[in-house]
Amino acid sequence: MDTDLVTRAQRGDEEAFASLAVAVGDRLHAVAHRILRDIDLAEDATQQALLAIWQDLPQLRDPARFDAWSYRLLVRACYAEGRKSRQWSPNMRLLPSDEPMQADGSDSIVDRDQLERGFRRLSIDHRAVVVLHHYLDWPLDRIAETLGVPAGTVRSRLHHAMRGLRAALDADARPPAREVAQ
Amino acid sequence: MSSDRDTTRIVRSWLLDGPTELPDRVLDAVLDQLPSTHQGRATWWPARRLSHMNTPMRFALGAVAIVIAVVLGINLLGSNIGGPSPTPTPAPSGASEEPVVRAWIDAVNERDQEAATAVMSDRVVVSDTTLEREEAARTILETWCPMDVLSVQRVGDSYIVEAAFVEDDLGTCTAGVPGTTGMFVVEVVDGKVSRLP
Repeated sequence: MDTDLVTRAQRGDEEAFASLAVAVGDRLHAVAHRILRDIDLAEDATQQALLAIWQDLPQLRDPARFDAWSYRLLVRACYAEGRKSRQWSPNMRLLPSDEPMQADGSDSIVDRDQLERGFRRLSIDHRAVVVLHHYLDWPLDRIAETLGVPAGTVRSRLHHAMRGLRAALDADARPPAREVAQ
Repeated sequence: MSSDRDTTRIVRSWLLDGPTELPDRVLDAVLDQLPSTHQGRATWWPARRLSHMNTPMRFALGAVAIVIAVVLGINLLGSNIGGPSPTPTPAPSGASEEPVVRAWIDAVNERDQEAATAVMSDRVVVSDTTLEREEAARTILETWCPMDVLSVQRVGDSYIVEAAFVEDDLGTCTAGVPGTTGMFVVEVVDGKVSRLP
């Protein structure tokens, strides 16, 4: 991230902040959507996070840490959106009925549906760790630093979350979708 | 039955599916709000470091801190006002909850949410807002700078903590300015932290 842009935005330069927002908006939104699993909530969380970044920028002492800091504010915004919407929307979408399956059948539509359900049962804390680790490929110590929690807590959350997701996948005792169709 | 490796592969593949671009209207909405959204400054601790202040300013700040501590003590004592001395009265009776306060501060320093919530009431007043314990702990752990405790003084159910703040790992804590000292009041009820600044 261009630290000069961050510094200028810290001083109230709206043009610099606009450039920053363009630079980080897509990835913040992508992460928010993967945590919240809802397009409207993700847009709201991203909007709130960007505004929080603008408001709190003067308090960021080291502009070089802007990236990690922005994710911390995003996850906080996701907590807020998650709390606001206790009633999760179904977020239905059509899946292609002839989607090709993996040779071992493990990455099927059924798997994805089970994963979706399993993931939605996780708390935002656990989802955030899964997304930062498995989507952004971050190591656990970086996640701990970003979220402001001990590394042991991150490890424990990831373990618990992955165990839950694995259980969700294994819980599907139905035969593969194609067999049902036939 | 899925192996751990299968689960990881499926989860990673599944996470790739989804939007990767922020709609322009969201970005526009943010930028439209900038002119009416004020940027904050460092929060409720003095933003100037003591080492940058001249001697009279340091004495003045010290005097103000003492006055604040005395006023807080008088307010917290309530009916005890009118006694012979305006200084905080020693704890009247009952076991000191100072270990609870110190355990809570240790948890804040360690960024250990579990340990922090273990010594907090179900509902905690933070900056005059009542929060659920987990939310209060999360808020505190995300914002407070780690600190070295210089003293803890009991006043009724409350404890006045004097602490020297230090930088957190990320350098983004906003409550407390690293390199400065400050005082704050922690209220403890039934062995649990119930009110924070």
